[in-house]
Amino acid sequence: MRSPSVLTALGSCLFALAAAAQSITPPFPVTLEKELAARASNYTEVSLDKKMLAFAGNFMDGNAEDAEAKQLLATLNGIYVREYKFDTPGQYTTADLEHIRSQFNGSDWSPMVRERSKKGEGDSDIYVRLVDGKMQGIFVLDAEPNDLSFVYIDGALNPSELSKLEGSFGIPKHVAKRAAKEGSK
Amino acid sequence: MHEHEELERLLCQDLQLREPPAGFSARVMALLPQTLPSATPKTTKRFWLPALRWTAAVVALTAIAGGGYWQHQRRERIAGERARGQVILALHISAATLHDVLHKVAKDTKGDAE
Repeated sequence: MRSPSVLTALGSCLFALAAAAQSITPPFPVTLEKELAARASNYTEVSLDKKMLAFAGNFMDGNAEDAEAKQLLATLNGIYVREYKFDTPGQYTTADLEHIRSQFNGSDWSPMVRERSKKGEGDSDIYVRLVDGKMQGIFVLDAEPNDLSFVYIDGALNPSELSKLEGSFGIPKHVAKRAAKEGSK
Repeated sequence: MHEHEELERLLCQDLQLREPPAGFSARVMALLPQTLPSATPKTTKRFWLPALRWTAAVVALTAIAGGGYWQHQRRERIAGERARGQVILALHISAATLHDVLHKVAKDTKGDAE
């Protein structure tokens, strides 16, 4: 899908940019992140706080896709993404995943999806933060033997806004519809 | 005493105001250059030199300020484009991760139903 060297370079670049950015406090265990990055063959870490989202929004006026993305970003306080790819399985433990999940076990957060594979094929979690019946944040964890991804979006995330971006920026179609469906269960 | 009076008379005689010979003034004027150097060019030079210096300084300052502003704008645009790229990447990974999880759930739900 993407060449490893490009991903590594991009990952390093984004890591450097993210490190340079100020007041970014993603709710992920920092030590664990460093350990995972060291074990990964490729990794991508993106941390964008509200200030950075607003700054990027100033440069999103090019087309209709940009305008919709800008509208979505305006409601968000931050997007924090971590994606690690490993050459061999077993580079992270169940305890590592529990450590990451523990950041989202507060009273505000509700588990929406919790899937555990008995065959060791991977675990999946979706936690949402609901405030007055409105989604104010979402945390997604997708763990596979050779991949580990976790995403935290802070802010008023409206699935209908997300659906406008489907098919744009490489976002798969029907994600929002399915997310909304899962959420309503 | 007589000698002194004689000396005085001679001095008075020699120092007496005499009319210049005829045509003396004309000959002196003829020896002078036809046109005296004018003071105007010096004045002009004195006037324009500082003005040129000031103009050069203003142009240089404007160029430096303009260059600095252009460089700042360029850096800001590059940083903005990078930030935009990060946002798109973050949205892409977020949606792809969400898609994968939901796909797994749908697959398992379907498997359980069967």
